[in-house]
Amino acid sequence: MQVSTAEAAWVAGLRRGEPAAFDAVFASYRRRLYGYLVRMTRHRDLAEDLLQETFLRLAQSAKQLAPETRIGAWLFTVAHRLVQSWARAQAVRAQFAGDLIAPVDPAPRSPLEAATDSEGQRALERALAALAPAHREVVLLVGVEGLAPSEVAAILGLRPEAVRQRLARARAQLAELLAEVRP
Amino acid sequence: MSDETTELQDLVKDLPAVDVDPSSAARIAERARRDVGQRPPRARLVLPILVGLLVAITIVWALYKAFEALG
Repeated sequence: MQVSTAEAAWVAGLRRGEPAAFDAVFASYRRRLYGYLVRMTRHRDLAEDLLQETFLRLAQSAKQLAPETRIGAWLFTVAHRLVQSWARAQAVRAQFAGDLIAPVDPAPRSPLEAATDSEGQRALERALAALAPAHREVVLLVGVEGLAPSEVAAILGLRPEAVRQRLARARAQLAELLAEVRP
Repeated sequence: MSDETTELQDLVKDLPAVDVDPSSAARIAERARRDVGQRPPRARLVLPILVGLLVAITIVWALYKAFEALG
């Protein structure tokens, strides 16, 4: 896949350590990455922390970026790995805490739902939240971010065929859930 | 673009955009901008190096003991 002229200029600027290039990347990707992170973690404060870590890593890796780096894919790869680490830590914590963890409402009204305007949008947020994280992730990356399945495969470290299968299952499951939750 | 992708994009097209609040965004940008072109802090490398050393020493010790036991 071709690197756009703007992206190539940003990467060149980052490699020279120019803060202006960082600002341009931040302005272009902040919203997209935050949307992905908040919908994967379901937690605004945590999503902010992971967003900061993602951009810190970009800043610290700026001079080592290859000239042909696709900056969007690079950022989503870092964000995906941060989400994975967080999910692993969550799983370990849950395993060790066992019964000490109080049962929680499986579908609490999230800040995302509270911020949405219409019942249809709330239903969509609920259906998305009900998907398995691996399925939600491909929906967000392909459906919302518009990334190509081959690009998503590279981000997730999967074969393109595996992403296509996951995508088909996720789409079918989302359609089913939407049919259930839509008013 | 495949049909699967188009159908999925159609399903989620009404998903509202979410954004980090402006003050947090400014704080994150300011914090990260300071590090542009800087290498990660050395302190971040200390723990992996210590763990690596510990693992290497344990392996050498285990091999030494194994050879000792075998005579």
